[in-house]
Amino acid sequence: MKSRESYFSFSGALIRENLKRFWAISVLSFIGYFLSGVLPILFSLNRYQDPNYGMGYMVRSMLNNQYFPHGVLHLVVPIVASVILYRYMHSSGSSTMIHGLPFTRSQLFNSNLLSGLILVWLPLLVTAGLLLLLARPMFLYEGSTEDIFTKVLVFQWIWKSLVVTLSVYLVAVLAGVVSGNGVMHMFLGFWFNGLLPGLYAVCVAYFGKFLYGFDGAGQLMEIATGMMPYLKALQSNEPFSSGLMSYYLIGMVALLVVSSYAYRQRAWEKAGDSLVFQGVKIMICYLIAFFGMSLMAFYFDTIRWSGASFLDGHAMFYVGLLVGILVFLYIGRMVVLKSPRVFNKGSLKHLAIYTLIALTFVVSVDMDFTGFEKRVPNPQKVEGVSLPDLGRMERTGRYEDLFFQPFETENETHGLVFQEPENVEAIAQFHRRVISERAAYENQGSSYQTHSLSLSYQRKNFWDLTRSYVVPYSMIRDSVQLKKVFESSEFKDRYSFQSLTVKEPRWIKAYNLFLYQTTMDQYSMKTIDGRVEIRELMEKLEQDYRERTWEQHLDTSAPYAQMEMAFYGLPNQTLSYPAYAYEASMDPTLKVMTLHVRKSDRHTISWLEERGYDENLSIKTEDVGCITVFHETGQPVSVDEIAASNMAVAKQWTKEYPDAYLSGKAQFCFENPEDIAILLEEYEMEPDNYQDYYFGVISFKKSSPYANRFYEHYGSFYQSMDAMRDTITVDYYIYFNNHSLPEIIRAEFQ
Amino acid sequence: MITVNQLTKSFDGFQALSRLDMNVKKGSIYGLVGTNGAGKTTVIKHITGIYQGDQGQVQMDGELVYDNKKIKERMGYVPDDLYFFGGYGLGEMGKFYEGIYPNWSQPRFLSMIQRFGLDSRQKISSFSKGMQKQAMFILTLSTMPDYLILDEPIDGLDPIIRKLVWKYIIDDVAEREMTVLVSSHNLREMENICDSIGIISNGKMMIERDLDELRSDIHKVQVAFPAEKDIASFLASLQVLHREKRGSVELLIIRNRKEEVENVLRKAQPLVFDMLPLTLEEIFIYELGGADDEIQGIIF
Repeated sequence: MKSRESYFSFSGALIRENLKRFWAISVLSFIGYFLSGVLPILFSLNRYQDPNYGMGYMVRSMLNNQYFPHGVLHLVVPIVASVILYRYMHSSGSSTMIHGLPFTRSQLFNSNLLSGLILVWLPLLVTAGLLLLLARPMFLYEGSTEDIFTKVLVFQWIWKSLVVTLSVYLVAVLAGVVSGNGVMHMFLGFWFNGLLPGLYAVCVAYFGKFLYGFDGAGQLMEIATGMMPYLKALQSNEPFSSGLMSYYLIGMVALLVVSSYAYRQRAWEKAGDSLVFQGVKIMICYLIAFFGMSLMAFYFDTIRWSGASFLDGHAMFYVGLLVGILVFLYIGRMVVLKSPRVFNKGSLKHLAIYTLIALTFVVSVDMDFTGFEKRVPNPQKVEGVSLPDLGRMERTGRYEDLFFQPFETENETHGLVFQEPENVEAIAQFHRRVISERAAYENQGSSYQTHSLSLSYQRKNFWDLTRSYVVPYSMIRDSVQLKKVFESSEFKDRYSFQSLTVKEPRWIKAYNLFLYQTTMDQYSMKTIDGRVEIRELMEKLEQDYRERTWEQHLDTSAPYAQMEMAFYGLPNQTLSYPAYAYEASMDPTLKVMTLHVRKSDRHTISWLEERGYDENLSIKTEDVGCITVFHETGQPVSVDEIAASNMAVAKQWTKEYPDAYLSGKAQFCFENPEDIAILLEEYEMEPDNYQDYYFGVISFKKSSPYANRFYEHYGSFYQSMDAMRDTITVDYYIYFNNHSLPEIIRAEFQ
Repeated sequence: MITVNQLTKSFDGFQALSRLDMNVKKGSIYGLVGTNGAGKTTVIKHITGIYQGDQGQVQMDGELVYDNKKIKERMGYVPDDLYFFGGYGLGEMGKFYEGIYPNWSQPRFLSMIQRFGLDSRQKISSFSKGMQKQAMFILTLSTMPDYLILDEPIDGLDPIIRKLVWKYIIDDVAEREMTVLVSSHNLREMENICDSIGIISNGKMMIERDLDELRSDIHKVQVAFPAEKDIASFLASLQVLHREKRGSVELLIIRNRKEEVENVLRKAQPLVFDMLPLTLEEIFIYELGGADDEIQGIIF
């Protein structure tokens, strides 16, 4: 009777023997989990629940599977277990003996697989048991209501840990089945576990380099880490979503099927070779060549950026690519053939094949064969489009979505998706303009201020089409389409204070931005914490917000004041524009919104003035001794020019500070109070043309309330200048741009 | 019965076996001989189900061997390159074998350990190579196999142990009709043990015969005739594989039945007539006519 092979058969005797032989894997692994996770809790049993003790952060990171020691164990233990359990495959003697015993190949594969899994999971289960016993209410900080050491969280930890270790183990088993020796098994066990995300990341690097508008940054982490449970667990403390879990399960089943099949097909005469399957040899060789050539190509490209290159455009990149192919293809051949003697016709053939494949890939991306760059969806076929940078151009936290949305999970942030047809059409028009005028502004050079802009079209039954560009600030400022979108009710309604998730802040602070950035904010800081006043102020801010135009939104002149609003009870997410003093708070639900009060916000300013909150919100002219304005042209200053300068201050500086950066630049000191008042009124926050702008430093009179404090911080550099004037000069620049240059500056610098 | 039918196997373009046929009768001891690299171990690994041939079949009692657990439970295999679980003693290995071989005989295991004088608690890795081989024999024979496959088993064993091992094997063949396949390149040893012989060269089976049959068909004769006697006509009716004159004595290797050789030559009225037994080495050399240098290399 012909024997029947069962793909699901196991040998109890073999499993028992494996557990008996390799129990040390479980024991050592458990010691690792215990010493790093359970023991610290045991050592502090009588006070680990005390929020001030700090144990909470360790427990939380551990239960979130983001605890470094456990991360190492989750990766190393399954790989080592697979190498040990399947070690018999890698020598002729052991593979002969084992396969001569009365087992089918399926039994051998399945039994060793299961044995290894038991050895890997057992310590996790025991550790989970101990954590369940130790679980007690624990809080991160005084007053917090979130218990971070519950039994539910421990169960979530064990579930995630089992999934993570299972996936690492299965990948390592596949690596072992295709390997011919233990060293290669170990190496491929680690490499295969990062291969998919690594390949994805390298491909994204190519797309980012060649494809205009490609946006890999936002989704890169999400997609790359999501490919493997191990990486996803490190990247996110959320449980795996059902979609992700399904993908992982399907992937693991596929791995199992492939490994089992490969084991049955494996030729045992190849035990001891580096790799057992011819196809795998080619694949590994080409992968080594791919990663190596990419490394060389991007490295040569960085040489170009450092100015050492004699070639333009992408030429250096391609030179590096070809060098990389040549070097790493042969290295790959040496690795897979386990021999340095690879300089033969066979390798030449593979060199030719691989070069063809590699160049086809790179050139097709470079030349954009798929039409990626020019693709703009038909606005009528789009469900919506998001343009998250529209609000961010104010560079404050005013438009952070965290403050304006109902949240479902801690990590989800939903930005505004424009759905009104006029807005979608306007954005698409702007998008087309960005593409069509690309050549013009790329030739403009890097001196002009730019802004990044990303947009994402949501399409029915299609993935979102996302693009990211860096465009001149002038294009954004002059855009009729963006003005229309910003001033639309769809945008204004979304970010209205009436749409706040938490309706009222606990307090509002207002201060002068310059003093805030030079750590002098306490001299101008005003706090509004009365409920009635807060409501009134919010109403005024809302009025000004509704009236604000696109031009006012983009206005780079110094704001009248900066405000901070403190909201409690929000999800613990990182803000793009945090108010630094408060993000370090122990209460993770406290989030502070920063915003600018513009000089055009008449309602708010009136309210502040009426209530007396405007005092010291502006720098007083009488506190300033001088504002020294310099003209920056981006040109290096020679020693002769420094010596020839007829500015007494510059000569003074070069005598005492020969390397002083500011020496030799054209400059003028404005001491007239009227001039000072004009400059204080009209200065801007940043330059818009880095090759031609003016910047100033403010020298405060020593009699001003904060002068000495400045001196402690900044005074030494300007010592000689200040000695002449009896001032304290703050090393923090204010800017004046050509498009709105005060006449007094223009007159002096003609 | 072990049947190998048109077995072909290549390794990276090298043809290791080429349409090889082999038959091992039940209850016999079959000697598989050949020079180094002839393909003996490769054949054995197919028979033990370790390799799968590119073409052809290997069967035991009509069942395919490859991946057949039931067949393997009745098969014992002593390879040339031994392997034991790390850190295990003979006792522990025995326990493992007991769990996977249904016919395991613990009494035999214990008696063999005693007979061979090994320590069942000592780590096998600390044994000498010869002792490890003994350990392997003990384990394998204790599984009471119906088929015993031995790949160059005698290397490393001293003459006393060698004799002991063969005694066990022959006893099992006699009592249980165990079928034995032994591979070796030592014809002298095979001659005393085997019932039938197969000789492999370059992956092909060159000769496969019962030893007795071989011996009954080929004879070494020393004859002397009067100087003027022409014996060519007499020899024409016989299949003379080799003729050599040593002085006045003719040395003849003849492939015919014994009676026929005697009848023909005695009619020629020889002065001297001696029929001598051939060694296995000589049989093969003269059977192949010396044409195959590989076979000539078998001589020790």
